[in-house]
Amino acid sequence: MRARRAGWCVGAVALAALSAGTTGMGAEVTFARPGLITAIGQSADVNIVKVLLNTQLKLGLEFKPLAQVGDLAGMKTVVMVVGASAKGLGAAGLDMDKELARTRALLQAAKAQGAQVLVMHTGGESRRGKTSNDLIEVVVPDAAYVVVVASGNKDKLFQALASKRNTPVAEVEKLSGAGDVVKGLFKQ
Amino acid sequence: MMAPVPRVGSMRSQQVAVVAALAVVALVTARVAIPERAPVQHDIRPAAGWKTAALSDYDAGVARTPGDTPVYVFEGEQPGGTVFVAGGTHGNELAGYMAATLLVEHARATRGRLIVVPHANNSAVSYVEKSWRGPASFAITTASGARTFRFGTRLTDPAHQGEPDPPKYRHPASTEDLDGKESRNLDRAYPGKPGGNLTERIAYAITGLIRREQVDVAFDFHEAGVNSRLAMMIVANPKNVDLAAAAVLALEGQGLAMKLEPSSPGFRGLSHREWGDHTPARAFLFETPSPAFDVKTAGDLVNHAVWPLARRVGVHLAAMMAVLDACNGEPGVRPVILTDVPGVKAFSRSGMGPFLR
Repeated sequence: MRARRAGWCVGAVALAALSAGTTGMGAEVTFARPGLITAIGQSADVNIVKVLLNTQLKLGLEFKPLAQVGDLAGMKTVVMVVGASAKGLGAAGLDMDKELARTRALLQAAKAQGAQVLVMHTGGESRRGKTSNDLIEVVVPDAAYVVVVASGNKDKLFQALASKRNTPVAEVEKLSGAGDVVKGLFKQ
Repeated sequence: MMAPVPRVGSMRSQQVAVVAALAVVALVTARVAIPERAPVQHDIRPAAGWKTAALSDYDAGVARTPGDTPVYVFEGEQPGGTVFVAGGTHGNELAGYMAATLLVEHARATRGRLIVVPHANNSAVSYVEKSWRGPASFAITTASGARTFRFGTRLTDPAHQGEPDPPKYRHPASTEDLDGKESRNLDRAYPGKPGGNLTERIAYAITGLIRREQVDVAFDFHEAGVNSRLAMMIVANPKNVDLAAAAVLALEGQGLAMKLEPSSPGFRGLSHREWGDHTPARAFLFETPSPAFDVKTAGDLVNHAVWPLARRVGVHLAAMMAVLDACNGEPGVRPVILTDVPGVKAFSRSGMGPFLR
């Protein structure tokens, strides 16, 4: 019975990955809890991901849009929702230099403690200006898995950045599709 | 023990302080003289069950001024929460006030209350700017014949404001200066000021309505340019941004891609910011893309090829229903159930006409 359930899980992950248009190593990557969601660029996309992952998928991840290195203690997964908002950065009292520094520090800390980074870009084309791109270029190379909504990846930047480490990139048409992919990535 | 005798110098400084304080009080309480004039009337035909009040019922400061405006109330049979909808904050954002008008003419509440002000700034819809090249009204064909609706402008009529525009306008809680004419922008004036200029009085009366009626969820329907960053956006007070996020996800399932932004902490006077901060209401603002902002394509305000009025009205109503669904699922929220609110597909099939009386 357990074997059959495990089989279903692997099948579900494979199906989600296939329907999402995954490139890279695909369904081999899994994520563990406890985990934390943070915003990279301080856009409200992080609130949508929070509802998707915590309210709908009930993953119970900590939510800290302005997470600092200390917040990563004990975390096995860091979900980085990337996309820059000038308003959001201003409201948080940040500029791009400070946000880039915070991001690099988080990536370094995650690596040091063996936490995996899941990068999500859900804001589409409107989150693909220069400032967003600067952040994307920092986080994607250190990701274990990338989920991107297709309208924000018309130039396939995410695959280009992920290809150096053969990091899987799941491109989904809709936000709901991103939820389907993430659901399959987390161990129960 | 004898009390110390105050020195002459300190008495004089006390007198100066008292005079200064009185001057400040006089400045704060000074009433701006608003010209008495009847507000413009609109062809709004409430469906059965709606009651009509006036904004001046909530603050006498707008009585007998061009800022007074009808307030429509539908009380459901089952007790519940209260929803407030403002259209016409900007008189040239027609999908906002037509969505509000359609609610009054077609929708009803089965649980809780729905309060609608179709023309929140009635002065702004009473005139068109000289620079506007399009029509000052538009018609919609309904079962009862062609009906005409006004098209106005963004700001309070300067002749109604009661005072000239300042060189620069800064909201008392804001950190930035705006052009002086923005003092006539209702969506920069909340929570408003009693006895202030007309725009401040309207804002004060609306904030008072939200407070007195114990509104649980408040919506402000707007429009932006077709290519504006704001088009297809939900702006939410930070305290209720997760409810807006849930609505964005639900709307995507209906084929409507909406963006999300929380209210800015430093950019003040806007409905979603001040309603949410000054009252217990959860506050949301919607922006649909209006071709009326593009003078080259504004010839027909109703039948635009990509963004016809009916579709934009449908987006407002769909967004409102998605937010209400999210609110109704929240613990501690008094639920509100609305019915007969047409969806985007219904509007796409038949336009607005069949849903107006």
